[in-house]
Amino acid sequence: MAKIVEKRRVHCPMRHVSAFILKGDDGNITVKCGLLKACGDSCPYLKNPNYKSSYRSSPEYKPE
Amino acid sequence: MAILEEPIKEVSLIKNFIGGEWLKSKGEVKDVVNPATGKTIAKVPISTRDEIDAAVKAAQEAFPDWRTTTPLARSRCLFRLKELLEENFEEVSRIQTQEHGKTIDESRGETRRGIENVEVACGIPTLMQGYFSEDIASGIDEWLIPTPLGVFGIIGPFNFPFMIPLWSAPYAVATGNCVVIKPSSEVPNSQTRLTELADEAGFPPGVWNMVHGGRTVVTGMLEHPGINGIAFVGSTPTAKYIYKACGETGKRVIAQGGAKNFMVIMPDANIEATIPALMTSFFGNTGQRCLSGANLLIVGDDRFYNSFMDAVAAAASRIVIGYGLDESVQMGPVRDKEKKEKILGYIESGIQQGAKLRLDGRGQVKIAGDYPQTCFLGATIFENVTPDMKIGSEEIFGPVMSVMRAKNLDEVIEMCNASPFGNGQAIFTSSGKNAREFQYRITSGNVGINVGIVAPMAFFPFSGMKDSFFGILHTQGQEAVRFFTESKVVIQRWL
Repeated sequence: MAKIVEKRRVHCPMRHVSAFILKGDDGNITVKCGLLKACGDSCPYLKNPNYKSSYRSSPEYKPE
Repeated sequence: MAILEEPIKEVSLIKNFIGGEWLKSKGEVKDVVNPATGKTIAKVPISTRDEIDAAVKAAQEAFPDWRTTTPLARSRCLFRLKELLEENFEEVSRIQTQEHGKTIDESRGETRRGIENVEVACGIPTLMQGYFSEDIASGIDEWLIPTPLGVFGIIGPFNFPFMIPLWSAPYAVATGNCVVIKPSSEVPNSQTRLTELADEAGFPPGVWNMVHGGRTVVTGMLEHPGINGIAFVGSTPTAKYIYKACGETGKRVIAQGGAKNFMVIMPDANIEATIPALMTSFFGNTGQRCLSGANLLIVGDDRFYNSFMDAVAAAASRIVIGYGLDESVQMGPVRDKEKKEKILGYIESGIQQGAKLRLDGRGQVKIAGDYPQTCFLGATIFENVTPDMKIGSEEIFGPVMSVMRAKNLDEVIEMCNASPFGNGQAIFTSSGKNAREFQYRITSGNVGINVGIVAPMAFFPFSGMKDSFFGILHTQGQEAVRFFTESKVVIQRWL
C-alpha cells in the first residue's frame, strides 16, 4: 500500500463541498470525498487532480 | 462558455401530490416562464379549496401511523432522500436556474444548503430527545416528551424555490408530523422534483403532500382546523397577515418577512476581500434575497469614500449578465417582468427624490448570449441616499445598491436600528472592537462580520427581528425541532 506523501483539501465548485486529494509515494492520486459515488465520473478532480474552476461569482477587486 | 443542458425539455402540466398520488388539479392553469429565455417551461395549476382540503385530510389520516413510526425509521427515509438528492444534484440545481433565473453556481449552492437541512434532520433520534428529573419530590419523577402535533402547512417563496421549504419540511416529518407544501406558483418545478424524490425515498402516503396554487390554497391552510401550524417565508405584509391569521385560529407559526439590510464599511476594512463580498451580497441572486445587501453605509473621510466607491462601481459594472445555465454568468435576470417593473419604479423614485444615480442598470442590458431583454436589469448604484427615501427604506428586491454615509460607528448603529427591519446586517472592519460593538448593539437576527450574506447553516436557526420575523421559534436546526413538537410534561408518583 502506497504511503501518502501529499494531502490537499479542495472546495469543489460542482457540489459546494470540501474534498481531499491524496497523492501516494507511487504517484497515484486518490480523491476522498463523501459524494464520490454520487458524482461518479463527473468528479472534476478524478480527471484533473489540480482542477481549478475559472468561475468567479463576482468581479474581483482591481486596484487602480 | 457553452450553455448547460436544460433539464426541463417539454411543457408539462404539473400535478398535485396528495396521499401518495399524483393528481391533476381542477383549478385554472397558468404558464411558468423561464425569465432568461422567455419560453414557457411548464403549466402550473391554481388549485381549489377542495384540493387543499383533500391534502390536509390525507395528511391527517397518515399522521397516527407516522407518529408511531420510530424516529430511527423516520430518519431512514431522510437518509434515503439525502442520497437521492445527491444523485440528482445537478438536475435539481439546473431546474432552479431554468425556472428562477439565478446562476447555476447559485443554484448549486441553494441545493447544497437545502440538503444540509435534510442531513441535520437525519439526527432526529437524538435531536428530539426529552429530559428527565428523578425525585422532584419524594418518590415523584418528572419528564418532558417532545411530541408531534399533526399537520403543518409550508408556504414557500419564489426566490429560493428548492431550499426554503427544506428549512422546515425535514424537521416536520422527522419529528412525526405530516406536511402540505405550497410552492410558489411562479417556480413550482423545483418542489415538484423534490416531492418526486421524497416519494421515492419511502415516506408513506400522506406524510409529504404538495398542493400548487395561490391565495386560495394559503387561505385554505390558514382556515383549516386540521392544520396545526404554518411555516411561511415571503414579504413582510404577507408575513404579518399569516401571523395574525394563525393567531386567530390558534396555529403556531413561523412567519419570515422582508428586509432592508445594511452593509457597513469601516475605514479599516480589508478592501480586496470586501469588494467581491459586496458584489455577491447586493447583486447575487439578482438582489432577490432577504439577506441581500440593500444599503451600503460607509464611514470615513471623502478620500476613503471616493476611492472605495470608485472600486465598488468599477466592479459592479463588470458583472457578467446572462442566462444562468451559462457557467460564466455572474448575474441572471429577475424572476419576471412585473418584478422588473417594480424595481424600475424604485429606481425612478430614487432619481425623483434626489439621489445620485452612479450606475444605471436600466435600458439596454449587455447580455452574454442572445436573450430577450424582458427580465434583465443591470447592477444599479445610487449615492447620496438618505434613510427617508423610498430606495433607502423599502425592500426593493432587485440589484440596486443605495449608498449612505455615517460619521462614526454610533451613527451607523443608530441608522441601522432605526430601520423597521432586522434580518441580516453586516460590518466590514479589521477592528475587533468595532465588530464586537456592532454585533452587541445591532437589532438584527443575523449579523455578519466581514461576511456579506449572513445565511445561517442548517444547524443554526434562520433568525430575524422586528418586521423581518413574526413568531418565536425559527426554521432550521434545534429551533425547528422545537417548533414542530409540543412539550408534554409528565409527573409520576406510584402509590
